[in-house]
Amino acid sequence: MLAVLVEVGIAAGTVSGASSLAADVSLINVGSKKFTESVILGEMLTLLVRTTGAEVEHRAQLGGTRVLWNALLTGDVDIYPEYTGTLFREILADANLTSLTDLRAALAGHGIHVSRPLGFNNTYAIGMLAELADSLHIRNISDLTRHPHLRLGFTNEFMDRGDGWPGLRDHYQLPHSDVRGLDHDLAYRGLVAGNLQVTDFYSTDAEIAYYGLRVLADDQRYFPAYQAVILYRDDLAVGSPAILGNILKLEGRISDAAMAGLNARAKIERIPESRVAAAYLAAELGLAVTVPRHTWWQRLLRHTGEHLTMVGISLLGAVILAIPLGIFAVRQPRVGQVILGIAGILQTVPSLALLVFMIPLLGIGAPPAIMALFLYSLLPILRNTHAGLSGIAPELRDSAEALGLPANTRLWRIELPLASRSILAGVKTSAVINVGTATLGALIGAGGYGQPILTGIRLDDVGLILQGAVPAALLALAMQGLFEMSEKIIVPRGLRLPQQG
Amino acid sequence: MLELNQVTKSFGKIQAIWPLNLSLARGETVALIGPSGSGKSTLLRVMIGLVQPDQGRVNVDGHDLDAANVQQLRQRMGYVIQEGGLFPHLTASQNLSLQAQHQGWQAERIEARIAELIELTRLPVDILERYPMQLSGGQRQRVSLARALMLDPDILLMDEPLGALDPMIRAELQIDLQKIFHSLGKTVVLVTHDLAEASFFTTRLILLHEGRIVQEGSFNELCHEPATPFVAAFVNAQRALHPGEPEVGR
Repeated sequence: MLAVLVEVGIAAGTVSGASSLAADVSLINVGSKKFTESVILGEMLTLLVRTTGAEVEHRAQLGGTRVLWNALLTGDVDIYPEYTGTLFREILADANLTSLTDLRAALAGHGIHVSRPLGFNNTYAIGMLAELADSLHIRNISDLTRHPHLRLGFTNEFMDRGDGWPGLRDHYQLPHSDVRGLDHDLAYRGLVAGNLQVTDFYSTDAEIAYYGLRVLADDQRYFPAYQAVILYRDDLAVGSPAILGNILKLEGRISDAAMAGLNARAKIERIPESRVAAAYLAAELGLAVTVPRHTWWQRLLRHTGEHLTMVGISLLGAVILAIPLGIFAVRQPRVGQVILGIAGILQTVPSLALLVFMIPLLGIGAPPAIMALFLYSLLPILRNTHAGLSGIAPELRDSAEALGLPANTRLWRIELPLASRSILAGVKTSAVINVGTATLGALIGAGGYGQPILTGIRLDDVGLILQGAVPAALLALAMQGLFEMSEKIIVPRGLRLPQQG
Repeated sequence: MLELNQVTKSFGKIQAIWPLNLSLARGETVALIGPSGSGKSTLLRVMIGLVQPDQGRVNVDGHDLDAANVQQLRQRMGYVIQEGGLFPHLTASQNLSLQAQHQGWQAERIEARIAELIELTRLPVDILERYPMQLSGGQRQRVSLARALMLDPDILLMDEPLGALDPMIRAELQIDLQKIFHSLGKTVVLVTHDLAEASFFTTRLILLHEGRIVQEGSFNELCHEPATPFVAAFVNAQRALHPGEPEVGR
């Protein structure tokens, strides 16, 4: 059963993922992480590639370091901005590297190159509201040990990283027990609202000045340098010297202050990252770059297309597999219980985790999202097919058999029509769940309505969030309506009649 | 026409049918009677292959029923159950046509046969396009009977066909059924728990108790010469419903 699923998955991947997996040399994919600075740098790289005349796509705000690193290794992404500290402490932590030269050699082993630093150091920093810090006389991270009751809230990535909270706690012997993980962009709001008092941020974050935050001094030198660099693949270095030459123009050209300023323009002044990036390239490098403009309407159309593709293909695949499996499960009750059990377990895997599991198999973009949604859709359809068929009254089964009709005829003319309402309800459930879950696809580069939601959360922009959330909700309602209408076509009329008195 | 030879059946630890023999001549009607759980319905289901006997043989017109020929032999048996067993998603006419369509009959032939059957079962023509939910209980049983007769089978197996009907309709259908049985000369096995109904259709009553035949005979024989105290008790319990007739055994 698992083997079947994996095979189907791989087959789906090779069909729909063909453009990203088969070396499409003419298209360059730039990646970025889901925080504003990374997106701005990604936009700069995208614009720099585009000025060479190459086809380029920015797969913006992907889930996190692992997603991007794996995508770079598989070639789903050709270029993305990274930080030296992350490379030393996280990506290549096992290698115990100390110098940039070692790093260069270690990356070369993976077929990856690294640029020289871009100029700014965006290290992790620990901080709190300046007012509160003053009243408690906290200046350094080590001062926190005197205040064990402070509420600490860190970004989820910081909570888990080797160079994050666990290391920091051990290094400074911090005694705090009230520590929780949350989204980076929510942390600032949490600080202002008083829900938490200490958080991590990046030293170039625009919010530091905006919210009046105090960066605590790393007095015992825990955090390494997080110099921004560009990672790119071997084949880009070899095959496209013009592109490479262009992107390396960024080396040493962005200072700490400049980056904080760019972040502020995007996050606080709400200027789109592409325009922030273009303006900087024009001013700093004298490059006249054009930013393709998309209207609100075009973006909605694109997201709708992406969303419908994800939901449609995954649902179709699930219907094709789950209905026959459900029929099989009724005929072979023992194997059937195993099949239902496996589908049930799949359903309990958290959706984000399932999405990320698919990346090593299918890369990033629509294929892994479709595969994950497909797996999620199986259970409701499977269970309802099983329930619909096994719920057929015994006397009707007997009557069908007593008429001497063969099993196939009984299935198509009697059993499936009688179970149609239940099966259709299962498909409807899957469809509606899919529409919602597909918004997470944006985290692994599949686009869809999740894209504006993700950007909206990052920029604290309710309007943007609604641009994704409202169409997603409307689509779910439309699905519901569509299925209720199709019930009139699919469920036989005789089953929809009221009982006569 | 129909013969059971040393047939047994158990469900888990419960012995539903003890070794049992039964033989029906062509055109004969027998009634299997007995209380709930006596094994009469199971026996009927064994005859049409819905239940596989643990041991013994079922012989239909010279052919032993087995997995290979069961579909074929079922075409020669009609099966009618208490609630009719009509498929609710199909109209009366679709219910009637199912079997013939599977046999590859032409539409005209099916239509002609349906016309014969609704006349025989005294159904109004306009019920043909109705769904089972839109029919009365009596109409449903008539359609069910017509469906069982569609391929003109030799044998009719009926499991409490009148059990769910109210008394007036029941009496009316009883008379119609008897006429049909006689006019068509079918071999009929009727399962019922109602002694009076059984005796209305036939003089060959077979009383079952806990999976065994306890007595076979006419209504009078059962009443006046009960083979066991159970037979007397069964008959008396039914007679109590019809006061004015003398109790058995006095």
